[in-house]
Amino acid sequence: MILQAKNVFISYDKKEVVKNINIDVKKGEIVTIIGPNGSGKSTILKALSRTLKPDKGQILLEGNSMKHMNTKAIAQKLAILPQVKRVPGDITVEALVGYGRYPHLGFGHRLQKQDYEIIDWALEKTGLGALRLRFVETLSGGERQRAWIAMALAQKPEILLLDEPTTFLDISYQLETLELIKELNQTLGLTFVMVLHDLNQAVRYSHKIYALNKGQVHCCKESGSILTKEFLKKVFRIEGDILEDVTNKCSYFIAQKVVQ
Amino acid sequence: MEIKEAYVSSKSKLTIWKRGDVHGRKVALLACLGILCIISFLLSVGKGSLSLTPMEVIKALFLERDTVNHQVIWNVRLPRTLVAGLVGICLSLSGVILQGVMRNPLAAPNIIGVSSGAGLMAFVIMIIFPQYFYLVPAGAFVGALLATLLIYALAWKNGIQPMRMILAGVAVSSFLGAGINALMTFFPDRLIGVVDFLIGGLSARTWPHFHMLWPYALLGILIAFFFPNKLNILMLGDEVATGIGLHVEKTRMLFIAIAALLAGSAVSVVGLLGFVGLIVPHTARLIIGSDYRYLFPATAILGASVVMFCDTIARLILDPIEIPVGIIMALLGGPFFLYLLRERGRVAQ
Repeated sequence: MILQAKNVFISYDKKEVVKNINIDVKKGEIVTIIGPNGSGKSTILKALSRTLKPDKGQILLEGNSMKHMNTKAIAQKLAILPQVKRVPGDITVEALVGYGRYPHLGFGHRLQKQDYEIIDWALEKTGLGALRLRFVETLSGGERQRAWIAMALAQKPEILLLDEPTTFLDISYQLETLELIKELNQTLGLTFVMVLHDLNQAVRYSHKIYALNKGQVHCCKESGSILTKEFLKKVFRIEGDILEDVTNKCSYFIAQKVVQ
Repeated sequence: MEIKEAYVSSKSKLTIWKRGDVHGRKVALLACLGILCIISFLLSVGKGSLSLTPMEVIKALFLERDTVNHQVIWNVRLPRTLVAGLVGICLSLSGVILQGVMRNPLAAPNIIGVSSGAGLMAFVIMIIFPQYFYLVPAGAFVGALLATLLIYALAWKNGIQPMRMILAGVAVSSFLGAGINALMTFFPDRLIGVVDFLIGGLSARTWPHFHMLWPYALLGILIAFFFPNKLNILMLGDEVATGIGLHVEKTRMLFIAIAALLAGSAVSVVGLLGFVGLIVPHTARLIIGSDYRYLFPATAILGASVVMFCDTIARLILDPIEIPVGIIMALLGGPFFLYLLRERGRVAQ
C-alpha cells in the first residue's frame, strides 16, 4: 500500500463529516472517490493530502504516519492539486512549474541545472512546451489545468491527489485532463487518487472506486462492477439505466428520475 | 550563467533569449530605482538652508574634518537622511510582506495593530507620564508588538486564516484607537508634540535613532534576500503551498513577526507614518511585477527613495518651517499612485 487512511474521523465545528473511513491505495492505481454532495469526499481527500488534520485515525504514506513526517519529505512523494487555486496575474507557466521543485531545493531555494531539466521534462509531458513563457492567467481552462499538473509532476512524486480536476472545465477540457491523467498513469506508473463528480467518467478512467455516503464508505469496487441500479438508488437517490460503452469497454448510466 | 548552461539541452534557442530578456529587464528596472535612490540621497544630504552640490557633499563627508560643511552634513543631514531611508525600507518591506501573507491588497502595517498599539503606548507615555518622554520609542515598539500578538492570538483557531486576522486587526485597532481618542479628549492641554507623532515626522532625528533602526532594517533585507520564494509560494494558496512542502502556519507566523518588528521599529522612531507601508509596495508591484525575488528589492529601494525625497521637500518647501514628512508623502504619492493604477492596473491584482 502506498497511501492509506485508517479509521479516520473528521469534524467541522463538532459536526462529524467523515466517520471511520478506511482507504487503501496501491501503487500504480487510479483510485476515484465519488459520492453525493456532503458525503465527505473532498474532506477525506484533504486529509489524505495533509491539508486537514483528522480528529482520530491515521494517514499512512508507505506505511509511515504522515503526522510524523517532514512536510518537504512528503512533498517529494505526494503532490496535490486542490480545487481552488490562485495565481498572480504575471506568473509564467514555466515559473509556476518551477515552484514544483521547491521540496527538492536547498537553503535559498535557487534552481540548479537538473531542476531546469526536470521543469523541461514536466512541460513536455503535459504538452506545454510552446506555452512556457505565457502568463498562466491567459491560458484556456484546459491548458491551465495542465500547467498545474505539470507543477505537480515537477515535484517528481509517486502519487498525485486531485480534487475535482474537471470542475469548472468545458467537456473537451475535461476529457483532455482525464486523458492526460490516464496517460501519465500508463507511461510513468504514477498513482492517482481523485475526487470526481461525474460517475461515468469515474467508471471509465479509474481502476478502483470508493463510493462515499453520509461520511462513510458505502462500498469499494473495481470500476467495472460498481454500477448497478441498486447502487444508484442507495447512494445517489436516482433511478437509472445501465448501458454498455462498447468503444471504451466500460459501463455507463443514464439518469432517469429522482427517488423520493 | 547556470541558467544558460541548463538550456543548452533545450531545443529552443529563442527561449533562452526571452528568459534572459525578462530577467534583464527587471534588473534594469531595479538599477533605475537604485539610481533614483542615490539621487534622493544626495538631494536630501545636500539641500537645505545650507545648499551643497553632490561634489561638495562627498568632499565634506570624506575629505574635510573641521569645516562647517562637515559638521552640518555629518551631525545633522546624514543621520537624518539615513534614518529616513531606513524607515522607508522597514515600513515598505513590512507592507509588502503583509500583502503577501494576508493575500490582501489592502494589508498594511496598521492591520496587524502596529499603528494603534504603538500609538496608544506612546500617547500614554507622552500624556500621562511626560517625565518619561525618552521612553516613547521603546514604549511604542513594545506596544506595536503587543498589539500584533493580541490580534494573532484572537484570530487563532486551528491556525490563522488571513481574513480572520484582518478582521481581528480591525476590531483591536478600533478598540485601541478609542483609548487614544479618550486620552486626547481628557488631556487636550497636553497635546503639543503628540500631533507630530500622529502624523509622523523626521525632525531632529539623528545617530541614536539610526542605531535603533539599522538592525531591524538589516533583518528585513536578509529575509528579503533569502526567502522570497516562500512568499511566492504562499501566494498560490494554502493548499498548493502545503502540497509543495511549505510549512504554511510556521511561515506565516514568521513573516508576520518580521513585519511587526520592521514596522514597530520604524513607528517607534518616526511616529505613525501611514502611507509608506501601503502605497510603496503597490507602486513597486506595478513597476516590477509580483515575483518577490524582484519585488522585495524594488520595494526596499523605492521605500528608501520616497521617504528621503519627501523629507527633503518637507524641509525645503516652507523653509525655515518644516512640515511633517507624512503630509508631503500623502500629497505627492496619492496622485502618483492613482496615475500608475490607471495606466498599468492589470498587474495589480
